Amino acid sequence: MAYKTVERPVLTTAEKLYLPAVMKGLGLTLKYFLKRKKFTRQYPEEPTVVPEGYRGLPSLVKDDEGRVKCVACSMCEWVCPPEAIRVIPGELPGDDPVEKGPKEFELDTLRCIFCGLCEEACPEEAIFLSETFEYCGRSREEMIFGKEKLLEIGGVRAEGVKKWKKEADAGFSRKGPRR
Amino acid sequence: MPTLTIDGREITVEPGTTVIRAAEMLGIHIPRYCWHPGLSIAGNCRICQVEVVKPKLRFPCTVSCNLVASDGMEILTDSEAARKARADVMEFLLLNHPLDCPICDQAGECLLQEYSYAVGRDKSRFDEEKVHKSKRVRFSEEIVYDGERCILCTRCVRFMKEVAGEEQLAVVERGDHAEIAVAYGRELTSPYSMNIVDLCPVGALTSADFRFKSRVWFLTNVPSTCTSCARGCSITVGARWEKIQRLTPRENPDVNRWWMCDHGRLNWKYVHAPDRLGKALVKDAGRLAPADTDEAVRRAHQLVNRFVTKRGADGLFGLVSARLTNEEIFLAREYLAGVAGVKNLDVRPRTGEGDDFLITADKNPNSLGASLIGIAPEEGAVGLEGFAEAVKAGRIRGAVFFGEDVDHDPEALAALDSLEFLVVMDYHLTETARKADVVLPGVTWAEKEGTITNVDGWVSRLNRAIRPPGEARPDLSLLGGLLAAARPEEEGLDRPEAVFEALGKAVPAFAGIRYADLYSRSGRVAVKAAAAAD
Amino acid sequence: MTFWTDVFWPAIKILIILNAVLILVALLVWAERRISAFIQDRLGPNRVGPAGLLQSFADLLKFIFKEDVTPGHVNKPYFVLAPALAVMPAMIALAVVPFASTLIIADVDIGILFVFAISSLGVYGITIGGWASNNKYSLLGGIRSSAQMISYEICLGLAVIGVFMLSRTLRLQTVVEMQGDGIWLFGNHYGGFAKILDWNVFKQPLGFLIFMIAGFAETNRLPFDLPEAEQELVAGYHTEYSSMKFALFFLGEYAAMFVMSAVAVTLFLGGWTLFGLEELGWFVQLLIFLGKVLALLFFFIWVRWTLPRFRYDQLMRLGWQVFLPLGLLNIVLTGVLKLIFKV
Repeated sequence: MAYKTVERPVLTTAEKLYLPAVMKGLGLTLKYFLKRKKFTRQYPEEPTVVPEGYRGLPSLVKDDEGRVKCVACSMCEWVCPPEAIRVIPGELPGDDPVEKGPKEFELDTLRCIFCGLCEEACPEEAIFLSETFEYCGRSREEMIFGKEKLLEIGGVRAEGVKKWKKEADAGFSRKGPRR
Repeated sequence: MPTLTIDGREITVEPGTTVIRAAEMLGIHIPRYCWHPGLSIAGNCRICQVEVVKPKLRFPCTVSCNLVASDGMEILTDSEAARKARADVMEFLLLNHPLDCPICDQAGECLLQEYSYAVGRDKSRFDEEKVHKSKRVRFSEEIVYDGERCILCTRCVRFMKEVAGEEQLAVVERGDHAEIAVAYGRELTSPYSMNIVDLCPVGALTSADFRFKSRVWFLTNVPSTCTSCARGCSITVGARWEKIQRLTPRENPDVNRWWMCDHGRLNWKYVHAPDRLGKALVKDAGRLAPADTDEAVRRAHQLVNRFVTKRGADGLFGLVSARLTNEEIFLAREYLAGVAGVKNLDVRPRTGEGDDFLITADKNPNSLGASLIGIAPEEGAVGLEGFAEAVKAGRIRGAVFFGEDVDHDPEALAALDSLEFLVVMDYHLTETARKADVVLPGVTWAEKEGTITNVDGWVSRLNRAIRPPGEARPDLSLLGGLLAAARPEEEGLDRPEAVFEALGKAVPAFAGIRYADLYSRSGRVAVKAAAAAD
Repeated sequence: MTFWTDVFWPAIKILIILNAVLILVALLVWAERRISAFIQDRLGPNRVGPAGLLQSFADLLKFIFKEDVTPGHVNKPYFVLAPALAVMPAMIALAVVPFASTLIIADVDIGILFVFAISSLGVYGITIGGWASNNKYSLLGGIRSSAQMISYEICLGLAVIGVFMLSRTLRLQTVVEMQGDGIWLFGNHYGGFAKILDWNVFKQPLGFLIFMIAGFAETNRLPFDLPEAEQELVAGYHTEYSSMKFALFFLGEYAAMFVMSAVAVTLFLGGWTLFGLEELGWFVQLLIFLGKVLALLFFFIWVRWTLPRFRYDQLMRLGWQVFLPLGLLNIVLTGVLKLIFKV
């Protein structure tokens, strides 16, 4: 079997005494002990700065005109590994080009594993993992967040897919041009 | 008889058979939109392109739905040329398609999606503005049309004309503005109109009932049988969250081919009605109080047993529903006629309007089964018609209703008050059940397993699609419990398969049908099969 | 023998000292956490009370209200007994510690023997706890603890013999008083600051070194915390303990640390004397004594967050092959010097 002889360092008498090294170590820790600058963040008073790409609570967003981006396609529900999402779709009233939206959107925050697959699966860029990590409740039912709460957390995202705009921007009549 | 070769496999077919049908016989699936085995050939979608190697054509490919097989023909369904031809057709079909799959109910069972995955391009080369057509058009209460998704295959138009026999849909406008619409001056009123939702190969026609309720891939699909009339159409129950979401017809050449009526399709709401029984009820000091199911079964048998021992079976009336399965009716007969010796047995008839296509006038799904098994008053015995009078006369002093009520008949309902005892098994709390001494919580067709015999003698399976509410149990298990209480020494009978086997031995009409074969096919009872053979 | 001298005043003293020590121990836990935090550039507990001073009391409340889990596989009587055994010796040893010239519960002539006798009982708590837990890790922790205790008890004893060769008595109060009388080296003709030089630590530097190191081992503190050794033994002997039982082990460890520091101060660091300030009365003496003890405790904590744990074989080798000969050497040296200087 191949082996390798490891060279052990030869210690001097002073080194063998350990005490100088111990003193050095004590000096080092004392230096840090006396150092003023500490890394602790005083959490509730000092807000936590989450890093970029942080995966917090999934949330729903609205576009800049205050409309819910979600179309209740249930892709997130389908992809969600712990089955934390439950979408109850509904038909939107009126004559909008967008017919479908979430009647109810439930996220069981206790089941959510913050994997971000819902965000990845969403074809409408309507669900995002927010930077929210502070939420609590007194019962399991309370920890199932509904649509309104998720929209409140998500806020507004103007960029990206704008499903309401497709037709308005086109400049064609509803029936299209005669050719 | 022409013999042709499809993908290297030979098949001999009847003269006049089209290539797509011949391929179907070989189990080769050729893409199709406008072609449907139950409709005439339109040949307008062009997706069923196959390569014809022999005889040599001017172009290598042609549509297989309208190509009549000839002797020595050689067809390739998946060759380079065929795929290319299909890809080109797909590109044209998708030119103006809105690609709104995320909100389209058809997504998941959409032929456009499927063939697009198979042969389609991943990017559109069309950079013009798509043609916009009408969306969210209500064809009727139950049907919503989306013109932009429509590929104008005209399956729906042909169905209305050829199958439903009422020409209520038409193609209007011309060129790229063509749309399907309710024909001028008419309304979409056919009782079979919702079949066009299933027929539609894309998401242009959607059911208002199922619209946006659930994505189809979440559904648990269970083959079952419609119980809304004596036709017993084969259906698929799509359920989710222990709730029925939709019923769709299931192909069954013997019973309903590909279709079912709108009434049957929408008649499932009562399964989730709030008055469903989730617990057994036993009358205690004049009031019905919840009780343990096993306890209630024992109590019910006790009542029957005591009555029969004291007064004999002649004073007992048994009403067995023709809505129950063959197995349940058999066990009910075993219990009432076999154990207690009751001669006053009857079913409650239900009739309504029928037509000459699928809907029958008999609204009981299992009338034939009930009569074959022998639920009918014997000579001189009391039937349902004479029930009220017989009670008044004091001839009938106790009654057992299995899955049935007499809510339709005020006289019979009033007569119940003067009975010594009444046992009711039902899935919901009817007026009749309110008067009972023991109410056993049964279930609906969606929650149990069993077979029913349709008007033509076809025996089809019901399968459990959802969980019963609360402590409710399949009626078969309740009846099995009663029998077990009556004959504690015998082996219990409450598995549908075992009961069906026993039924086959006891009633010759059912002999020769194997329960396991019925899962997705129908078997025919002997009498009808013999009649059909004549 | 009267009620006042033999019952009342000792009872009062016990009350004062026991409470003071228990509170100090609680603060010590807080100090440990704060100091370790500071050494690691953190802040440590700083929420409960001013600067987090009340943290330990909050923890105590938490311990009291926590579920007391007694696993099914333990030997119950011993399992319950062990935490009490761990905390009692440290408390009893306080009886002979001279907090001030008058503040000593029992001024016995064999003070140091008493301390050694009692404090070596502490190991039973740990060993029994480890054995009764019926768990491999805990048993290993208990065994390690007893082996370690046996090895280092000897060094500890040898280290103090030099001190008593000088003081000619085992009475701790005398040892303290002697450390200012200047009979060693310099005579009795100086006062004030120079009096410090008369502390035994200067007369017995080797003895002090051995005493301190053995003290670390005796109290199971890093770098000799092999009985606990979180990384190898999953907290060793108290793996199975929870709630207040666990808290008692914790208390015992810190109380033992306090006693060890108090004995070190008494024997080597002049006890309750400092610059002649002790003339101001017993309360000042008490403050002086506690100040010295706290300084030593700081050193204990400081060392813990600096040095890594020794390996078991290193620990044993150090005890038997280094400190035992050194301790003997210290005795011989002391004797020789005593002969030379004729004291």
